[in-house]
Amino acid sequence: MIATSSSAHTVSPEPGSGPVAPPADIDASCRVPVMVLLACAAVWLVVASVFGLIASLKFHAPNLLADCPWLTYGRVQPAQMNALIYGFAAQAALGIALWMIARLGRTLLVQPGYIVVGALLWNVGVKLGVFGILIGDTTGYEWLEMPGYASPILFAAYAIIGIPALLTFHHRREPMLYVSQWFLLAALFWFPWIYSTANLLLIFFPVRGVLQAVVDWWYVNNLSQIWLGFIGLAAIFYFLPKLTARPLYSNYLAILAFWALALSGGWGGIHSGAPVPAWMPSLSTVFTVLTAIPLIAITINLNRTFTGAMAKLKKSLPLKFVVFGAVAYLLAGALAIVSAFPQFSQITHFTLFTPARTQLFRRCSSKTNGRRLGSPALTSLWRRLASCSTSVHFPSEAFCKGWR
Amino acid sequence: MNHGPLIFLGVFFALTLSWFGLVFEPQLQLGNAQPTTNLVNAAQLYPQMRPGQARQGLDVYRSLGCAACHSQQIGQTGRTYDVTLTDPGTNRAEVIAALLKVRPRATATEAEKLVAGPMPQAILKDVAHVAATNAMAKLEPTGAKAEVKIIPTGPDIARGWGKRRSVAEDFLFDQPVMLGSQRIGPDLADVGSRLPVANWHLLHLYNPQIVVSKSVMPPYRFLFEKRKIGREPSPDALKLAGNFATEPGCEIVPTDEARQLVAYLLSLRADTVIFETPMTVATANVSTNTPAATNAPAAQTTNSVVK
Repeated sequence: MIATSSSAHTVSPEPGSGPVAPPADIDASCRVPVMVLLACAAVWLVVASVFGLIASLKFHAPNLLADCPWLTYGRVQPAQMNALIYGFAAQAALGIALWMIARLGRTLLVQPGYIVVGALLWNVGVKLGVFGILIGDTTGYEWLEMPGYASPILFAAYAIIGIPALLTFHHRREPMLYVSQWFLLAALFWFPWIYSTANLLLIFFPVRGVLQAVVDWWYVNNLSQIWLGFIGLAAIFYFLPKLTARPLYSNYLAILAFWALALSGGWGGIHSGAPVPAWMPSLSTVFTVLTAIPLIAITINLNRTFTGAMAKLKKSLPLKFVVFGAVAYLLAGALAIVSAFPQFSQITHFTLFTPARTQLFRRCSSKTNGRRLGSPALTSLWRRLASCSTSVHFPSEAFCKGWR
Repeated sequence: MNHGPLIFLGVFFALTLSWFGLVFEPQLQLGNAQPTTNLVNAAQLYPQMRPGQARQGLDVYRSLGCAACHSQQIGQTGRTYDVTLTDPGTNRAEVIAALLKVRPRATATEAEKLVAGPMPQAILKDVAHVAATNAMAKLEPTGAKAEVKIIPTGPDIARGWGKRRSVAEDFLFDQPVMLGSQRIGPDLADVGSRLPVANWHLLHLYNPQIVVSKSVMPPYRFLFEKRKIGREPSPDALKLAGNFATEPGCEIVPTDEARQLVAYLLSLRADTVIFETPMTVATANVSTNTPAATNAPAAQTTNSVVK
């Protein structure tokens, strides 16, 4: 395997030749489903920002909307998180993943009609879930607050989107796999497993006592580190060489990062001092520190790929997003490692530092954009929203943090 | 060259590893956890199921998303030990000699005073386990009786949020378990023993600023009913004064949900001594941080028995 991947060493994201579909046809096959996903993601981003704004205003005016149980802080805040994760980040990630799978495989997207149905169903699920949180049906588990009547819909919708994605991958015309495809394939498998495990063990057949918290931490860590992280990395590894018109520095390093991250990334999330047997936080800390290896590999790889393309950064807006996403990802990863140390987390844990850190992870996946999807209007709207979300979220969080 | 199956298998393996490690293995260890021995009151197992109203209150707590601001997990960074002389016995000279060995800096007069004074007398405070055991080894042969007190330490405990760390046992019967990840407000793992007065909680829920002037907690007025006073005021009505008073002729009465939530909050007590969290429960005369409130509900036997 190593031998074969070594031959891909200097290949650009779309190497080789063969009976492949022309890019314009691929884009045409992706247009409707990807646009539906990205447009819905954009709407959810606005919704989440409104919830987020209400939630942060309540810090300063506790009486604001206090007589409306639907909008009490404890409901608005999870509603915001869920709208952001499942409404925005997940849909944006899926949309960009579908397009990359088709483009990198040089094949038309399989069954775009089903994907549209899946996307609409996903949105029904998120709506129902957020509504459930607002009326007080929350499950009480972080990032899984959506009640039991919403999560199966999300799971089904994911299957309807995920199966055509896998079929598209299967029908690829390009024999050589680029590292982005590794990340995408892994992410596609990862989500149904963690989502079904977490839902089954927390909502439908709940485990006892603190095991619930352990399962939830495992899920949250896998969702942010692996699922969103992998799709974000796939996009970074795809767009950075493409937009800078430079080959990826090292395919070896990228694949090393892939395996190291897949093995060590799924173990984090249990903080030292949690009321669980001590081996769990210890194990979690060890593996989080191990993610330094893929993180360094990614840093070197991206840095070497990017070196010399500074002039392009000034001209290209998409490149700015990609670079911002990459920096956010690396920063988030570095902070995650630092926070794994008890000496550090003793101070930062339970503060808004932790959500700020996970926000950074989301930023990296949210830097995907509507590039080349055929609608300049949507693309610009998308970018405006993405930058808007960054500019709204960061100061408000920094502000709350300072206020604390 | 088709890497698809290879990547799938590798990913499957990686995910299986973390699944085994952090989902399956914890289930093996804790999935069949049973209530453990209560070291203070051996007749009762720990934990006990929460009373019915408190269990309903847990649902109110979940539904209102209280865990968005309140954690329920007390951290502990270590333990210190106090050694107290409870009975000097008859062989005073030997005891004084032993005391001088235990506390090399003390003078003979100080040691004499200590032995002659009313019992119990503190000999060592905030020392390591080794120092405490050494002191006991020196004092016991003299016929004197001494006690070692185990005191959990840590920032959360220093804040007064709890007496010992939270452990897995504390959450055995809860569904869902809401450990929380934010401390916009204080930790609530031990709020039932820290703030044991139901009326305080009712006022606090109705308008937190009545009892905590700078609180940013939202008021939960929707858990209360405002109604016209009938023939005579309800005994349950909140006693509101000054700026917080409601309009004349009306009274504020807690709904069932408010009562359930308060019952749940009062049931949150992480102060039982079990094997995992050794500590000495404070007795009345050496107690430093028991609340002075007199109208506290009768504390459960699990918590009030003195070791």
